[in-house]
Amino acid sequence: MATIAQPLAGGISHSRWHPVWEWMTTVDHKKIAVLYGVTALVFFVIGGIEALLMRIQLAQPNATFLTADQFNQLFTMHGTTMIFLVVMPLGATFANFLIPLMIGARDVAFPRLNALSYWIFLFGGLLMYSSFVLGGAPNDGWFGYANLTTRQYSPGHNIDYWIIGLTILGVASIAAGLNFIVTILNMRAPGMRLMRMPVFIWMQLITQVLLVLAMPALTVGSIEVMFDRFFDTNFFNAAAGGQPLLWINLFWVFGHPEVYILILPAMGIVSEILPVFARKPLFGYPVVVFSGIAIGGQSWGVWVHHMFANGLGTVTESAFAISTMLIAVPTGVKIFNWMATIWGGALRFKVAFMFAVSFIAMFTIGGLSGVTHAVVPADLQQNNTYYIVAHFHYVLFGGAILGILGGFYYWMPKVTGRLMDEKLGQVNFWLVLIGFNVTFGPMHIVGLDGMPRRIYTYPAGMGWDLWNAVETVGAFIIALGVLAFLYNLWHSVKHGELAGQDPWDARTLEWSIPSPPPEYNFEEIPVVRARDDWWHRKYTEAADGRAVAIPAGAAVDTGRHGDGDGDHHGIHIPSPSFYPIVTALGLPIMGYGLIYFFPLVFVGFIILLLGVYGWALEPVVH
Amino acid sequence: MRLRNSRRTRLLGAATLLIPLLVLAACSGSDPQNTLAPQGHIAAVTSGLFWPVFWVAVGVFVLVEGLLVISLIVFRSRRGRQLPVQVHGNSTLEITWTAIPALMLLGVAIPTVATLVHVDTTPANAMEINVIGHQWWWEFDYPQEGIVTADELHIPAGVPVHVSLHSDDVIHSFWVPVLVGKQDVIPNHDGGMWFSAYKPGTYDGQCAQFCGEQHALMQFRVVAQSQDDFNTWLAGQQASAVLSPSTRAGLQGDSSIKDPAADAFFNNGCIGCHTINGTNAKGTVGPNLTHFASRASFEELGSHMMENNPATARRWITDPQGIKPGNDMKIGSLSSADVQALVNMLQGLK
Repeated sequence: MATIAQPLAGGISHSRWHPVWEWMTTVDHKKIAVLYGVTALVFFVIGGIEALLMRIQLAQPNATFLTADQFNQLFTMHGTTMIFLVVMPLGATFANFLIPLMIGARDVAFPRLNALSYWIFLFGGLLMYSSFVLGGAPNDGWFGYANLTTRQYSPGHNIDYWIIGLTILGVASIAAGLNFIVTILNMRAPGMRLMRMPVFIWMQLITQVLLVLAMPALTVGSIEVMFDRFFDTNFFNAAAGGQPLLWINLFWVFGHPEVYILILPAMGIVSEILPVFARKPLFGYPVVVFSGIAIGGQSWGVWVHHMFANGLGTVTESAFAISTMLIAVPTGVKIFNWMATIWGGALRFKVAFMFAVSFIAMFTIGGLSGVTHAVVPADLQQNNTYYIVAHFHYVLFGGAILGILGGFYYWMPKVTGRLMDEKLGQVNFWLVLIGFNVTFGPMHIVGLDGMPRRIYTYPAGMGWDLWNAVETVGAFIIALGVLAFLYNLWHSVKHGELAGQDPWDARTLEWSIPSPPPEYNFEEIPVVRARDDWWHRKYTEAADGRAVAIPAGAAVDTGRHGDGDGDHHGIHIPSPSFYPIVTALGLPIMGYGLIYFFPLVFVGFIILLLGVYGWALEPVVH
Repeated sequence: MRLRNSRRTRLLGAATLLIPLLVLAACSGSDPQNTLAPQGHIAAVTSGLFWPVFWVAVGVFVLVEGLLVISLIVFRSRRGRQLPVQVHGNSTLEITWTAIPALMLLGVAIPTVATLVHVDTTPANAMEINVIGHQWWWEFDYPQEGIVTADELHIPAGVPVHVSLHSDDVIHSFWVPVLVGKQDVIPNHDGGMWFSAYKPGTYDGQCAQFCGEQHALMQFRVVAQSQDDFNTWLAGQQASAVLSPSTRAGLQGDSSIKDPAADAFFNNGCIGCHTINGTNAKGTVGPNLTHFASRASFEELGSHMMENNPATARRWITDPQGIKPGNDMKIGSLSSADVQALVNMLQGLK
């Protein structure tokens, strides 16, 4: 297979195109990454506002700032947004931008499919959010347990939006998963054997495999709920013998691998940042890789730990308690390897590094509380309380989000050619870290003190008042930190200090090309001779094991300079296409049709078919 | 840089020590739903298992975070420092830090399974009670004793009780934090568990699985009593409804009787949803009212169970939707005469 996907007409400078059209038809992985990133950050702000509204309501007992239904919509949309519209797309942001660059490729295997995934994500998210003004947002929780989600108990359109939105988003994820798997396996530069790939690539490979295999479980369950709601089937209709427990099983068979889908990309980011700022390689590379694979495999065998309170019996619960404790082992191994990477290094406290270190610190806390959940009798007290809310925020916010923020500070210079501001980054970092701990630390306490989750209010005199007030203050501190981040990001795009090609003295291939990269990425596809190939072109190891810089000019200088002015030396890159956005548009139309006016389903389907037809027959040369 | 790091170190060090102390200090023993202040056997066994695991976790936390903080101080880059040794790995370390956590987890797994088996093994002499979750109230049936109640679960103290768990509509979760961990009630998947209260007292319970709009207002109470008091309560529940003769006749369908309470009960649709034993009121949508006045509390106000007295009963009947929006008691507005008659009848139903 050629290293260039679909050689199409190339060499056209698009600068004379209208920018909106350029962005709507791009198939360039770097632009698609920006689209994902901007969209995900907008949803991050929205999800954060949803959280702030809830925290205002919960700051005091018996508050009336929100009604019950408003609160229920908010906690449902906060969870759904943060998981499906923020953390997963941010993973896709970094995957899109970095995978081809790190493996020495010019783009992903299927550039138009890549664009399709983005547009489906955008339209799925917009469809879900349109519910706020079309009768009410989903309000049965982000894991929407049947049979509460049947039409009998959720008669409005709220759950229609949830189930259709999730199904649409699932298509985007599965398409992207397949795309990235093929890209990583088939399009690596010559010499980049699997065990020479950056750990970020390994973590993304495992993530995409989990995605492709796990999403279908959710899709199956979602379609069953959809059919119950729209076509009067009885999968979850208890009176007709339906089994709500079936939804719970299907959901968590998806849901547990899903949480590893959420965390593994951030673990990959941390694995790239730490060595660069410690100025030594990742400790135990093969072990970190195999731990990631182990976590991916074991993630299929623990889902029932979300169901310990469902009365499944001693044998089942014991088996999954043990399998859950076992998954802590490879996770701990990774943490120790990261710490050993830091140990003995020459640490540079750039903001990216500080976020990566805080990932380790916060994720450890979340992991430890996770181990306490595996103690089944104790979990029967912890389950569905704020203790669980604390746990998953420590691993998802303290883990995934902090890692991702570090990734922004680290890689934005490559995307835009300009560094983010370090001083403002420090403000961002400390506000977020402190605010985060002030918000979620006390949740361990109120959870053990008997406060259930998903309650829109609580009585006075339970011992919960003070901590809830503290948590609300913390949430606003986080908000300030996020504002600092967003301002830093926005301001640095135009006004940041020029970064140059390799501002961090880094180790991986993306730093061997200009910042920002030319459209074709590499002028010449590099030949890879070692893990951390870029580092080895700059440094060699002295007898005592210390790195020693190779004198300038002595390094083999491949692909370091592109003109970037449109002269592509005959490199063919894929042409833009509007068929992905057209195809994607068919899906939400089908969704609205299902909810409001069935003939629209056929209209949407026809648009989908036309889009695919045009795509398949699109001329090779424009 | 140097100053910032050592301040940060002190901050992190303080946090490391403070947090477990905070946890200890934070939960007052008198908090009504404190899982770490057990008032019954299962909750005690559970917290007895949790504490050692918690302290081990604290130990790991101190070790890991401590090493992290130390490495951040000791290895910060200094001017003129050479690039560090490019260590790639160490097999001995890898084996050690894989094996030790695995062994520690084995040490946690064994008591976990043992406790789980104990928690799941119902004693032979356990008293049997059926628990049925509804949106948004709890029904308690005593099959052997032939009584049906709501809101308050009376049990004899010091004696094992087995609850069979059912749902009438959606998934709920039965939870009395100071007595026992929770279990969900799932339609078409019955469950059950046993527990006991050490001594007489009233213990707060709350639904712990999101079940719709008013999930937050689905509390209940466990009232543990000495065996004598429990027997007295039982006898009272098994007795027939305390009604004036005219109300009884009216509720039994005698149309020649003009009883304001019976008429109000009929005309406002109460009879469609509620049961009063020994009358034509056999509705099962809402709680059984036969001995309504024997309950110290019912429904929720201020998101806590409401004390049962004429004022609160009046308030509930006048505006159930105002107190618990969306609940099944959709009755429109009653005349004040009807309300008064009903309140009088309810307060008599001891």
